[in-house]
Amino acid sequence: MFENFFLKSTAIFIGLFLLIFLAVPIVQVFYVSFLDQNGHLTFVNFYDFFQSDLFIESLYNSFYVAFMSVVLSSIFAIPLAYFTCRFNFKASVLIQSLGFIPLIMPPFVGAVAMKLFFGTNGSVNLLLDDWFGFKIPFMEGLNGVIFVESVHYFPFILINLITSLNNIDRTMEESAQNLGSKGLRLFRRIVLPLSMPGYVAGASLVFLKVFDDLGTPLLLDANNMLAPQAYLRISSIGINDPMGYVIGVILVITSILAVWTAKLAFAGKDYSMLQKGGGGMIKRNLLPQQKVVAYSVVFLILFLVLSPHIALALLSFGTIWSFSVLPDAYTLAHYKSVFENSIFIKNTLLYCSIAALIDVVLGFFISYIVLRTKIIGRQLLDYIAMSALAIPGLVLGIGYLRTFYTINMPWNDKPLATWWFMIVIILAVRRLPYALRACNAVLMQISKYLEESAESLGAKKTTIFRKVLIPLMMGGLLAGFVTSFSTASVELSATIMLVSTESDAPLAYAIYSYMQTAAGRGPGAGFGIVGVCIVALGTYLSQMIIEKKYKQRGMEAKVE
Amino acid sequence: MSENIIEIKNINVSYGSNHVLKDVNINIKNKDFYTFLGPSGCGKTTLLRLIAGFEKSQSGELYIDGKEVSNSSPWERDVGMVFQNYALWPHMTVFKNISFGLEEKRLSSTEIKKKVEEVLELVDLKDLSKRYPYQLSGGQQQRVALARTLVVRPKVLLLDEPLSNLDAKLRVQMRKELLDLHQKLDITTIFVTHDQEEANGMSTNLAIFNEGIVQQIGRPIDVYNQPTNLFVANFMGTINVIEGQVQNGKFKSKQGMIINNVTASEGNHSILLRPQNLYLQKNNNSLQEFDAKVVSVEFLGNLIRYFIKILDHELIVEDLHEINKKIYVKGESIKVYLDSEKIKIL
Repeated sequence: MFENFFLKSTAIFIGLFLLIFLAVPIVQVFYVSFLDQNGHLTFVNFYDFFQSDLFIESLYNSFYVAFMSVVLSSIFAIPLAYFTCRFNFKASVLIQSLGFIPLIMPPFVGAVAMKLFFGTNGSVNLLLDDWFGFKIPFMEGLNGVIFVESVHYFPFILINLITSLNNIDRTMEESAQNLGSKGLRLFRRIVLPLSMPGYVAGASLVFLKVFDDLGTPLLLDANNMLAPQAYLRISSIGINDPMGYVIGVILVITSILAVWTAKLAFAGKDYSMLQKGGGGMIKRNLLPQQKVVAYSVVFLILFLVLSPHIALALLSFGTIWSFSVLPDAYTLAHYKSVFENSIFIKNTLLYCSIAALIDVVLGFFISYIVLRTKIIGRQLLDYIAMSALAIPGLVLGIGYLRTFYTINMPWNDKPLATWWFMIVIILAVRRLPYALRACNAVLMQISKYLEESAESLGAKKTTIFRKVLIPLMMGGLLAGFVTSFSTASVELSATIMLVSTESDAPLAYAIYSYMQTAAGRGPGAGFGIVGVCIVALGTYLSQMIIEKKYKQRGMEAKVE
Repeated sequence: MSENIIEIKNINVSYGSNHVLKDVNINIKNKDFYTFLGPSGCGKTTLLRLIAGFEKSQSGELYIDGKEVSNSSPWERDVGMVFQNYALWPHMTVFKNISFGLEEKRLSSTEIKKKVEEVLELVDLKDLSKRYPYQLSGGQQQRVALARTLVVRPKVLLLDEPLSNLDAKLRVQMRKELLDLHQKLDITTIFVTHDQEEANGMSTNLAIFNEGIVQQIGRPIDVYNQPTNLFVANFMGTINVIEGQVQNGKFKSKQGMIINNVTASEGNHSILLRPQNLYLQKNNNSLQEFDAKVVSVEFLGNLIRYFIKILDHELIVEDLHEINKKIYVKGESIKVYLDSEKIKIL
């Protein structure tokens, strides 16, 4: 009886948490977008939106940038994925590990540095002009956003595409050959359709990420896009301006459509389930001339992938870097000011550890309730928690501002939205899906019998949690913690709305605000490097934990 | 056209230092149901894939219908393969899966439709043409895979352990259906399996493989009765082996068991004796009698399997079980009889 009560009240508590900190703010954004100045329901805000040339242009630009980023990401990802899966290619390992590198740094961090590298008077164009007498407008206007976003997000397509290509059992191709099919026809009829779900999943993720991104366009002065417009409206005109909310609604709907597209792409097409054996596509050896082409492509893309990191590092160590291929001289001065302002780093470490802890606890209980109990509405809990993935951070931030600005903290009569702990909560809500996924993954692997045998020996639920489940899930819980922590530490779009004083600001905010001035770029880049190190370390740790866990559990996994 | 539709001559396949097929020679007659039998890793599947064109041999020749095909691509060979995992394309319906090969042959759509419908009828799947593979049961997927291959009328049908993914009952049923199909279509079929019961029950001829070498070729019944070595004898079913020497028509084991009337050259030999050729009743005067002790008993339903000891030889005796027949118990002393005509001497 008690146990049931405990789990049920936990479920209700989590439900309330998600309701207050996820559902209500989003509903607020929708609600406000339909209110006129007198508080009556109306469509006039949407009408106004579509009457404004600026907003129409922003809408068009956002779609254009997101779409072109998908195109450019595909151009990076498809050859790499195909080389890895089709040929016996030594660089495959390199491709698969370099594929993850861009993901450890959000695009806005490297945006300014990329300008110095690829801009009209950046290193690459200076060299091109010197050698060949022409320049390529990598970073002109929207091109810059497209370029920076693609370099960062193409791994989403790469990883998904490689996974689905590797899932194509070689008998899929062999049986087609056996029936007389070959070459391009075979590729078009068998390989292409089978790899489509993976491609669409990756592409829609890229679309969503780019469409929602706030920091990159702001730092590249491409303000005529939806997310920057929403931010600028709210931050300059105020939280009562309806246009910010209208844009928020459009962002949410587009994101949900993108996620839905990915879902549709997979509906009834879990191809990996049907195929046993595996082994991926039929592999061929590269001819010598093909090898040259393949390696050149790989190294070109490798250079592009690493360029934001290299440029950021140069920027953080350089004195003056303008109209020259490399900085004039090198200095540690920027890191000195990073240390003098280490409050941002401390804030980030504090916020993100609390947020990640909340995520792991919630993730554990949600996955337990969903997988192990029959509590009514448990699936709903899971859906709502996971839906945070489809909610743009900016919109959630606006929703928090709107919802919690009118509520005052009892102890000092300041709005709740300005309290630093709200940053922690918004980070926790944003990163909950990551921790939840990690918890689900481990709990699904743990056989129910392990708990039932403890139960039959007279153990209570709490004892089972403490002595059986948590020790067994430790690896997954840790991995979830680290992932939530490290990705939260560079989160900008949600927190930017909620930072009320400098002293409460996290690292991402510092990077953003420093990067806006020429003098602040050096220290900003220094903060960027710190952020990259935190995420890289986190990613490395979680990989280590997962690998170690697999080694220990190798035996059990087979038995189950 | 020669009588053999497939001729395999001195085929060698190796992956690095791993010699998978060693000097394989097999001829397969037109319209035969031929089985490659052997334990896993013996090279039987490699040989099948070689015939289909998915593997390359280092040396040797392979003729299909009189044509050397070692260097032709899989799509030029006109052999149909049914894969162990069926390899149905998950993004195509049953109809699309089956019509694939016909489309590759650029047949008109009316002809395609007609042929697909015919083959669907043949494998009894008429109502399922619009389904996707994941909506089918294992047995249905198997039939689709068969139909997809048969619809293009290949010269040879290759079946790679087609029954291994089915449950026991379905397996027996599919066995019969495969044989019926073979008979109806008169198509040369090569069947790969590790199950000797399947092989015996289905094939007209078989080749037994071990470690890349063909151990014996022949009709199942001949291979069962006259195994050329211990591996074949063991693989074709349970067998008792007694080692010893032959002198003057008498076999004497090291432990002193003597069997009379043995026709073999003087010297060391092994006696092979199937469990059903050791008797517990003396139903014939020419039988030789031995004292034995029951070590353990297994009741198998139609048979009772006794583990017995004659001197120090532990042997297996299988006795047909009938109602009211005496069943000996562990530790009991019994008489065991054998017929020297029904032993195989190696």
